[in-house]
Amino acid sequence: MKKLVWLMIAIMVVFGVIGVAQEKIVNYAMYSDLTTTNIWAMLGPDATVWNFYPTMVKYGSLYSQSDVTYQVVPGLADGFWSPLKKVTEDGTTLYVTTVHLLKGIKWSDGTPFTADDVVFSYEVPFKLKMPGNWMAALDPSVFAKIEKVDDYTVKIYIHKPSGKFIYGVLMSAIVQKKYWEPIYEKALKQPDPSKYLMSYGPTIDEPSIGSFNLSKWEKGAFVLSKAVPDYVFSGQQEIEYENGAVRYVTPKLSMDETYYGKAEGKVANKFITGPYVDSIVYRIYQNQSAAVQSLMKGTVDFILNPNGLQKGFADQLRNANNVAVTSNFALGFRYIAFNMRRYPMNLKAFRVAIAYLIDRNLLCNKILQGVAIPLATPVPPGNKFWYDSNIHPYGEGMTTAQRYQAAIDVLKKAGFTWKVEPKIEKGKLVQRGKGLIAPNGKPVETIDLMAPSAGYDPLRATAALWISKWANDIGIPISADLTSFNNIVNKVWSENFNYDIYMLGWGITIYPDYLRDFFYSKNAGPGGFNTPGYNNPAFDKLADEFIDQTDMNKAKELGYKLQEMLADEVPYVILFTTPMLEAYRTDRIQFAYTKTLDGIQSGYAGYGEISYVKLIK
Amino acid sequence: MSELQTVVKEPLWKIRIKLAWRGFLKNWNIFRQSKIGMLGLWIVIVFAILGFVVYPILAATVWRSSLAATVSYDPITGYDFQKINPSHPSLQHPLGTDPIGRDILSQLLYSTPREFMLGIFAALITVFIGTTVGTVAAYYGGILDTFFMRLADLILLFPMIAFLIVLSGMMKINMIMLALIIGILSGFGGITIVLRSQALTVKVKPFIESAKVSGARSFYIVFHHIVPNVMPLSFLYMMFSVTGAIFSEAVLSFLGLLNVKMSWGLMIHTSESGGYLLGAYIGRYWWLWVPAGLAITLLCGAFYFIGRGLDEVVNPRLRRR
Amino acid sequence: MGKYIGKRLFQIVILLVIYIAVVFFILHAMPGGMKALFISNPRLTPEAQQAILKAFGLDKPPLTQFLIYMRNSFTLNFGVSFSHYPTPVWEIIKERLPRTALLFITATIISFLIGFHSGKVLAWKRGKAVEYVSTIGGVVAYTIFTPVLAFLLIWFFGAYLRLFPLNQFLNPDLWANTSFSSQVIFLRLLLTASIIGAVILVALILSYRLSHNIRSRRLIFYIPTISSVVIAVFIWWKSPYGIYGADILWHMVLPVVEVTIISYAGIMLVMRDSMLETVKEDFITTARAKGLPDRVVRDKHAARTALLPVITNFIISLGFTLSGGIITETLFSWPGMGLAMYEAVISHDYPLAAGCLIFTGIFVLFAHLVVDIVYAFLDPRIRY
Repeated sequence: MKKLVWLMIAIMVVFGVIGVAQEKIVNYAMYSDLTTTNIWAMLGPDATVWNFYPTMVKYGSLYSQSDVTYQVVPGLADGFWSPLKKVTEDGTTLYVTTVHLLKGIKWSDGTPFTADDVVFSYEVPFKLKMPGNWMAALDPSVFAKIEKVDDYTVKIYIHKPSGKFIYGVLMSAIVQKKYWEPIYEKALKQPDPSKYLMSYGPTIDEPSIGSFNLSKWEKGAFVLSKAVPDYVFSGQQEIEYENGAVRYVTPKLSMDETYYGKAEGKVANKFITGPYVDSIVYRIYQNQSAAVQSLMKGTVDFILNPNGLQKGFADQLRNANNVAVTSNFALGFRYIAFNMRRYPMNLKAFRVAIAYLIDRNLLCNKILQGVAIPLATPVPPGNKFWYDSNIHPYGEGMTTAQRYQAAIDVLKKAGFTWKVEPKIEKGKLVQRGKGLIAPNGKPVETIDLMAPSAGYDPLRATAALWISKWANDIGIPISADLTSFNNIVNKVWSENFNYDIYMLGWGITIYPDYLRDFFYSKNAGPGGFNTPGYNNPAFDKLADEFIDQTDMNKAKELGYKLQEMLADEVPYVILFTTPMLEAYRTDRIQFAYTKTLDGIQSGYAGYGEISYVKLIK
Repeated sequence: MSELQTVVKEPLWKIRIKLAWRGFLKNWNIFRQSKIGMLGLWIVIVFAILGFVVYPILAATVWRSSLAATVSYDPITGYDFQKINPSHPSLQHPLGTDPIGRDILSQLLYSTPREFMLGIFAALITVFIGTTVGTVAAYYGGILDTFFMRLADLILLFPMIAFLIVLSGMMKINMIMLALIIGILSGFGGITIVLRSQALTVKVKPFIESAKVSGARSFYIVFHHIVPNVMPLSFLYMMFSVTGAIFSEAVLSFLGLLNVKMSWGLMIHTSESGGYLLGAYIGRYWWLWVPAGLAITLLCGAFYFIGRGLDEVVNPRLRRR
Repeated sequence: MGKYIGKRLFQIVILLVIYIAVVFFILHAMPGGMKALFISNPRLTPEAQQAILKAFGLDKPPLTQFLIYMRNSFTLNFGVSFSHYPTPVWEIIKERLPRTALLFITATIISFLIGFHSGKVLAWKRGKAVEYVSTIGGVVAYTIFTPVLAFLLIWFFGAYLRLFPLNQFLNPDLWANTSFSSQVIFLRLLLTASIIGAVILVALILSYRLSHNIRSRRLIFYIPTISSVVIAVFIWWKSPYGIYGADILWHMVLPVVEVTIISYAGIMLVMRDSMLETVKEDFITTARAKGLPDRVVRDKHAARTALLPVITNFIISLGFTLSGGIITETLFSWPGMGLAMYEAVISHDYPLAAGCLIFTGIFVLFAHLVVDIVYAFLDPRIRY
């Protein structure tokens, strides 16, 4: 056997490494394999970002969001949808809108894109009740039905006006009817049609309506994506003005449209759609460090990573030649949630006291060494449209001692007492508090703060230990219980909110419908999103108004009010977000933009960046 | 003989101790000749001193910190605000700091007694179960014997690390539970087979027969005559179990699957997942993985060395010609 | 002979049943039981969860559930993976298995050859410096923390010497336009390795059974071994797959080196001890007394008898290779069974994790059976 190996090595030397003909190829690193290329599974139970990166570019949607500024703009639709009109059908009230489709768009197999594709793509997942993203986009409480008017016009019926209509229904993915119809028909004859559709494969031969199409998936090794020749949007200029206007100039369709104002004044961004390369190879590595090494060696040009690079990698990549490291806000936050079904977490004063104690600045910049960015609101500042800059969290700008004092004052005012009262002299804690007694006269029992263990997430583990330290300093008996992620999820959701305080994180979306989902009183039941059990009729009313608002400027005002209410009542204390650190080879490739919420990779999960990447020669 | 005279003069327990001591000395002299065994013993002693003596002293003196210090040497919640972490070894931090500013040396020393306890606790359980089951199975034979031997076969089947990984993914496992699981699994496994065959050779010795004749109960014979005679072999396997337990812990912690606040494996996990162990540039942050990696290797190796040394005590055929 | 193997086969099936039962009960003992594990996938709709419950009979009484689970396990129906929904677990195992098997069978054979020879020499060099050095080196290699060794290898061979490729199991540039998948190559390589392995084993057994003369024994062993290797290389060379096979082997070198370093020492130490035991046997003393040269006594008399425990050790470790390589596979980017199991655990994909565990058990049991058969051939004391 030894000899066999040596002989094989000898053969390798003889053969040498075969070079590939001069094509424009960029190499990306991913560190997890795809689980499927099937769109039904991908937007259903297999919604992993790794599946999205190489594949989502194949599909279109009626509307999408502009690069960098995240404004809703037409995708495959021709102009905006018509205003919603109330109609009554069979005694139920529905709202209807008409959407016109662009003419002259072709799938990569040459078939023209028509209203049939749209109707098919909406009806199949809706009828089969496909889970996951399908269900979220075509929410049955919003979406009612879709009708074809002619080859380039559809009518969409919804139950009620809602933000989910714009960010869900109008942005649902569109597949080719010609490819999927025979498969769908076969599926209908199966006992579980949706499972049949989801497990159908391989779907490498499925036509694309985007700039790239899959060409090969070597499981565990790489995915090859090839540029679609004659991509209809190639050469399209996207011009974003500082006044908020977005202009699209599409030569192949001889179109020139401007939305959100007039095309005048200073230009903030200008992007021209590619594709500029012949193919993209998504190389699959099994761990981050392998991917980073390959970037340093120049084997890959960019690392796709939904969580960004760890600080250690970024530090080392900054010193590497021809590598640029970019930093953006991640779209997500880590938080602690109070169980407001239990005493004393239901007391606002208690929650406020904890909120005062948590020094995000010290935590993020000193303790966590800048690996985390302080964040006090559920809408990160990078989400410029929705972020409320008037939010001032408790204890902003205070020193540790001032924070102790503020927390003690709040507690005292609410009627809390101590057996040994904490004492602060000359800006220093000189006596730790002991034996906290609640306003009801009973001593406060140990309060469990569940957080993921260091093995799962050292950031949260460290944060939890510090929060318990600060609380203990003034006598609040919080004990950090570092446990498995699974265990926390289990306690919170499966055991019907069996917790005092827990610490987890959320990945979020640009449109902040989660403001309602996380705190809406009807979501406080078993398995619901409202884990704190926050119940505030005023909030509920406002949240309903917010979600039903289809004018986004008005929705923004309502969203601000929701954020302010949450900052005051603190059912959650938002702790921090992480920076999205990414790296690419500056000697090999060029991106259209690198400053964007959630990083360069965010463009790869949908549209955008992938069509802009250029090779430098 | 001289022993006979002492029987008259001294109480029984003293004689027992004396005999045990003499036996120990005899074995010790054999063990001492094994250079490998002695090397292992020394390493273990050094680790034990560092963990059980040096750490508590340091923690109570040099590493004590006040409520508002800028440096804390706590192995779990420690920090150093004055340095860019991970920082190089320096006077303040002889082995540097980890990515979030915790002192590596204090982590290393803090974990030492825990690794010892884990290893020894798991090994004690292994040996207790293995010895009891092995001797009982050998002495009584029959169905009991068949049952335990098949059980051992079954446990030999268990891919231990894989099993532990799956288990730790499903429930939170801490050090004590880990020790229990490893102890029980390996106790009923291969060690039973070895100790049973050893016990079988003891069982047929004449003194067992004479004990039976003089009316000793089976239970008494098993625990007073057979067990002491298989004890050295048990002790040998105990050393190997310690190695196994410490190694398993390190692997699970390295993969981030255990619910422990600090351990050698977790130290490497923290720096690996933080992005500091980068293949080609692994030397750049050597203090993040060398001390912990070396500690695991040394302690595992040391117990194994002791085991090899004991092998020569237990197994006369391996002794030098 | 047939009766003996039949008997062992029967025992092994019984063991397998017990093994699956144990895994089943462990799954049941988890908080919430198996039901919770199987439907706790938040990505599934209630309908899909009900479908899973039904498909696995989890709505039935425990005993029925147990029987269903047993039947499913024997038909390799381990359910549907959560993280790869709706791909069946068996599909994933099937994809990963050849990669792991090739890597670890190669490594195990190499470490066996090295371990066997060095152990033999070691036992003969009792008390010399060589013995201490290699024993200590062996134990260090045996107990070294696997990730640390991997780091060192990656750094030294991959980055410092730049001798071997890092991080992937094939070179995408080479494979971009192939019409076949790497699985085809893996299967063929595995077939080649198994044939060569079988030839070596048969040659070994034949050499011991047919001849008592060292020289002719060597001939019987080496002629088939070398010719099978040469023929295999020649066939690969001529086939259009040759370059792709070579590419995979080239990427396999570093992980193989790591596994070899870790496992050769175990075999070496067993071989040494086994040799030492044998050396004290009467027939060796007689052979020496006859004035036979040391080498002859060593190779002809002692090594033969000492081989038995080593072979047991070797084949049992073959069985464990399936799961044992989790760290090696993670650090060397080798997407095999170990990695599948690790990912399953991390993503709470219980059906996949349990499936890998049971499959590993089946593989280990199969290895046991092979041990029994080999034993029956090699050990003159076993009569059936």
